[in-house]
Amino acid sequence: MIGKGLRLGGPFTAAVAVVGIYAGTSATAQELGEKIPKMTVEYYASDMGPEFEQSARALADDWGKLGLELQLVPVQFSTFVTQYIVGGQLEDLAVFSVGADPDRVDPTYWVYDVAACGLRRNGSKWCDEAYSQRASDQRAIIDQSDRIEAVHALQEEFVEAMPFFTVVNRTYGIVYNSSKWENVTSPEPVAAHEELVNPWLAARPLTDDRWLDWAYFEDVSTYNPLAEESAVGWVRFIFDTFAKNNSEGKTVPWAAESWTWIDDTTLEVTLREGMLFHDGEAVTADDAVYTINTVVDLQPPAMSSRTSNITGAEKIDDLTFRISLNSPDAAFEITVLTYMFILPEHIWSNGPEDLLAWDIVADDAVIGSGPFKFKTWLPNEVHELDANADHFQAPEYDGLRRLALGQADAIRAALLDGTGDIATSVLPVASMDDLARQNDFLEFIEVPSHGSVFVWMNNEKAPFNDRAFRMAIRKASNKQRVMIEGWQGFAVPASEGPVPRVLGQWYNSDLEQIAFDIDAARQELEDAGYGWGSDGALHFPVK
Amino acid sequence: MRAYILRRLLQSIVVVFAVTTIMFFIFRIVPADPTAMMVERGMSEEARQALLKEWGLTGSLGTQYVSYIKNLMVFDFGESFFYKKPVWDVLLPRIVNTLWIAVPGLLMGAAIGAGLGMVVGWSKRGSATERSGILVATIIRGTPSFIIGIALLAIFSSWLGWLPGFGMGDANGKTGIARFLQGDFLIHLILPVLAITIYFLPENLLLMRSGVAENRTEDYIELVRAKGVSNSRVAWHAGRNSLLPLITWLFPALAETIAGIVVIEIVFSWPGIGRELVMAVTRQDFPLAQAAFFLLAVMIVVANFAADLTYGKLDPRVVYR
Repeated sequence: MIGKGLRLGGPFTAAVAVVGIYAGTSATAQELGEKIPKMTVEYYASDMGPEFEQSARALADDWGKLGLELQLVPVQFSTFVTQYIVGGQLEDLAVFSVGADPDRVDPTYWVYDVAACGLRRNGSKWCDEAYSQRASDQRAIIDQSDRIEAVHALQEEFVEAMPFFTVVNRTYGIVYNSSKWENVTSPEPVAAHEELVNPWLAARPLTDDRWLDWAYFEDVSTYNPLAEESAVGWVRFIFDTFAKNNSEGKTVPWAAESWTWIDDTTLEVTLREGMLFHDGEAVTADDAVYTINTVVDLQPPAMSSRTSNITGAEKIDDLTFRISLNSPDAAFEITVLTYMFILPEHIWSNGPEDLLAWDIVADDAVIGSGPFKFKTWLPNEVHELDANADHFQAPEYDGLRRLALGQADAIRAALLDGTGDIATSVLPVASMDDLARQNDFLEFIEVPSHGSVFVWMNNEKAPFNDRAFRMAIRKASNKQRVMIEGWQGFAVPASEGPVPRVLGQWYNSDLEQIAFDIDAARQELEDAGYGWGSDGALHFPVK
Repeated sequence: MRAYILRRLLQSIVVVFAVTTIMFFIFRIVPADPTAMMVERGMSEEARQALLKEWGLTGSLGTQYVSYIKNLMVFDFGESFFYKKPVWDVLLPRIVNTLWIAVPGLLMGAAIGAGLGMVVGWSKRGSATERSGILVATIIRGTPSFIIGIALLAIFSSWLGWLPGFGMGDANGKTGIARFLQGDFLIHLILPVLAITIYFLPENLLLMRSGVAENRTEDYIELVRAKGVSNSRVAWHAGRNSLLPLITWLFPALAETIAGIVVIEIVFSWPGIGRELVMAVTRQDFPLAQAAFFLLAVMIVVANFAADLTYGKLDPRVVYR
């Protein structure tokens, strides 16, 4: 058991043993190869909500009509991530979702990170060297239209090979107290992560209670931005980034007033005039240069995914500096300028030797230039940030409170008793909608996103190493049914290819959509030499 | 007696040592990598290796174990992977939070349980009081603590709306003891304390009842009765003598109840050590989880040890060998 992972097996294993009771063709015994062995379908266990079990059941029910025997295996979230998403231990099939992270509005994650040869996040283990090279190269194509063309071509190749597919794109939600707040805006296509302008900085209070209480699940681990890895956005409420991604998917100026590429690997950035740190000191290019060079020197593990391509920064004048890169990066603005922050040099240059381990809360050094100032943190309980009235986009209220409630029921209770003003996740979206329908003072906002429910197939193992078999699985997958049975309608049937349709220009809208069709799926198998025994079970082609 | 204490002390140390060793290996055998979430978000392999090194997760299991044991000798569990600070700095405030619900809950459970046990035990055999008392106590005893918690939440928080059902209330910017001495905190205290009281009560009730029921037929009770004292005074005599097994049972029961408190903290979103422990396991924060389990192990071992010693003190017939 341990070797195979800490799975909720045994009595908890939901078995769907569906062996092709289907009025299809069946070959005679002598034309058949070996019977296709029982397959496992691993999916997020109920700690991630009931949607995954329902989705896996709906899919497996249809896949069973191909004559497959399937075993549904729920796997606890962190084990799932360790073993399958980044561990390369996928057995047969997996149904799970990947989050609508802000940096995933760039296509690199979709066409490269989860699809190129040998990468940790390519859990379906598909490997096409030529595709991988092109998927890697696209990130260095600075000309936007050329890059779009390259990304579109990659999607065509991908769909032709069908190594895995997306079933639905997830819809996230926001539920908020509309008797106390207005102008709570959707951050679509990104889920309501912290740091974004929407809904946080746009919200306006309607009452004298001018603190926005966010009923949330998790604590923050540290306020040191060099070390924080999970509550990245929350920390960036305090430490301004150079740019922000807006709800149209565009990268717009924030602490940087503008930027221009001097050459393929040099970006000149001009800071906004008149910005102040929370202690009253001016924000200058020295601070930005100090921060970037400190990151390059220290190579903080938590930041590696975004900053490893930076080689350094140099000051041009009080508000201007240049960032140099190792290699051209077309996604630099969208993924790094929106992520890199500005530390006050006058504080950090006097910090302890090990800056990564610096507890800046204990040393009273949580000083940034962002729209919020640090006030208090009671671990695992509540965080309070005062609004920074001097900020160029100061919120129209007094402060933001993050309640670390640890579970969905408490979040629901907080909204109902008025302790919480807004909730953005953990509560299933359908529950958010229900809450708003049942309570006049609550409003629900649907946020369609690029978060995707994938079906992964183990491309290294028969029969998944056969394109025809993968294509048959794709044709036998009913996205509409998953949307309804798995997600109660709070999802969108995904378009073809790995890139979500909500990513607009990056999505190749010319791709031919494949319809759900069991007969076509069976035909695909038959054409490839597969056959069915008298019991309806699918057999390999004869060798 | 001294030899006995010494032997039990050594046994206790061995038990704690065994538990911490098992914990060490369990966390390293389970297929959960504490860097997995970061890799999922795009952390490079070099950065991952640097982090593993910093966390002491490189090298053979044997080497890791030796350094773990060395640190354990000085109660150093290292730094929490998640909070990036020494685990004790994280755990100590949580322990205080837990004590706020655990101590009153357990004391009230014991006191009310013993009181009700006396009433039920002293009532006529086969009477409605006895039968319903035993029935209700048995039902509650078999109910998991989360069901008790959820039932209280449903009734008093959701349905009646009388009491808050999560968290510790608004700190109003206060820290230290002042944070706890506020009306809002005390109101938030009610439901979790009530849940622990109810969870802890039936064992006390049943134990006290059987003690009293047994004692009421003893000769000395007849003697007290013959002296013409009131019925309640007679019951008191029987009750006092029934306290002995109750007190010796209290310590291991405390240990057992700790597990129930973990669940109650989750249900009421109480930021105590139990909830932190569950979070630490979920986040694969090995140092924090190991330290929390170590604390639980020590508490349980100490409770059992104290029970053995108390028993001898209270009952002279017990001989230590």
